[in-house]
Amino acid sequence: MTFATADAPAIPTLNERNFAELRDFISPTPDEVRWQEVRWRTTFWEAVQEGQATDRPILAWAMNGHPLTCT
Amino acid sequence: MPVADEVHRLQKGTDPEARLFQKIAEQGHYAGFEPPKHSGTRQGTYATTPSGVLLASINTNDPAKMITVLRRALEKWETLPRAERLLAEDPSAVAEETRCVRAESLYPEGGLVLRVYTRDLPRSGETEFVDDWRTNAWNQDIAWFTREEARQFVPRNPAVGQVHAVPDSLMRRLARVHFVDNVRGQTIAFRDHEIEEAQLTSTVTGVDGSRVALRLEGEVRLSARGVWSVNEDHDADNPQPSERGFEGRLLGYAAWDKEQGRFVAFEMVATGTRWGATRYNFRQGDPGPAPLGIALTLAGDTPAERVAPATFWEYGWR
Repeated sequence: MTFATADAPAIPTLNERNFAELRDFISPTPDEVRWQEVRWRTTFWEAVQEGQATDRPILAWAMNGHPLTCT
Repeated sequence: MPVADEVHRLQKGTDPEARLFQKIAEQGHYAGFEPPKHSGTRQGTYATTPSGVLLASINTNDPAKMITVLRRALEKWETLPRAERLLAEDPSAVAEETRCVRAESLYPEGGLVLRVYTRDLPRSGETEFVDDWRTNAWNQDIAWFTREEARQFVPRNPAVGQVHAVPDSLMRRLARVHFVDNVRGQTIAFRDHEIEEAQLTSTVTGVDGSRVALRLEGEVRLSARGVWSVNEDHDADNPQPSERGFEGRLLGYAAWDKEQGRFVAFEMVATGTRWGATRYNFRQGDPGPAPLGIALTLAGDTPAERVAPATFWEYGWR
């Protein structure tokens, strides 16, 4: 891919030949999404109910923006 | 019991779920922190009993620190009697009408759900953050289209060579909400009047039984000018004139199944130039112009992929 300078970025011309390379570059690698392998419940209340029913502690990850979408 | 959830609603809401979270957070690492002396956020990771007794908490992405916190939490859990660990009343009995109505209740069953990834494209020259997390930053979001909207990406009677214009309304929403520079952190959608161009065509490249192959091509240009903060809370009281934008080309490939009435394959890439900064997207000191890449791929149906788009209120769905 063409490299850009801060003053005049050279954007790679998007075409069918470099489409896959760009798609793969932009998309996260398996290492970058390993944390998604955790079976995250997606609402706090769901975890409260399940923790109550199974007598297990809750690990709540709370961010501005849902952590499973955009933070 | 791992759970991920959005903190702003939890720390501000008045429903039972939010109240329990607030009880927990006020025992934690940001307890009592309020503006102007501190940020009012309660972001972080909380280990807690279902009854709301905090076991340990921290706001970090350092694995070593997190392990220490988790161990401390488990040690404390083991010291607590069952009666103290659990709620006195069954939480599943909490009346439905007292619960928060989530955006996920509007998940577009049978529609088009896309993962949206953003990442800086390579650039040479001097950059300030060579060995910083920001150099390798990327972000993600989800884009939704209803079943009826998804159909509008495809010609009614597809034939090879046919070129179809995707309705403006769909492309404008996709562009202003999702073609944003959130690589390093959240940012806001563009306003409709800030869309200078947003067009997408689908060309039928093959028809094989019920499967229609499409090539997607388009262009976007979004540009905003105004007065806003670009450095978190540091300049919130003294925002300066600012501008931001994204201009790029789109290319993609998709497959529509006529019998199923849905996309069975969909991937699209946008490459272009971004410029400017917003309050929480960590572009202060790096306003560009610089190259940005956006990739959209078909999402699966796991619970994690059914979470609503980050700025879902921009969709105007009820």
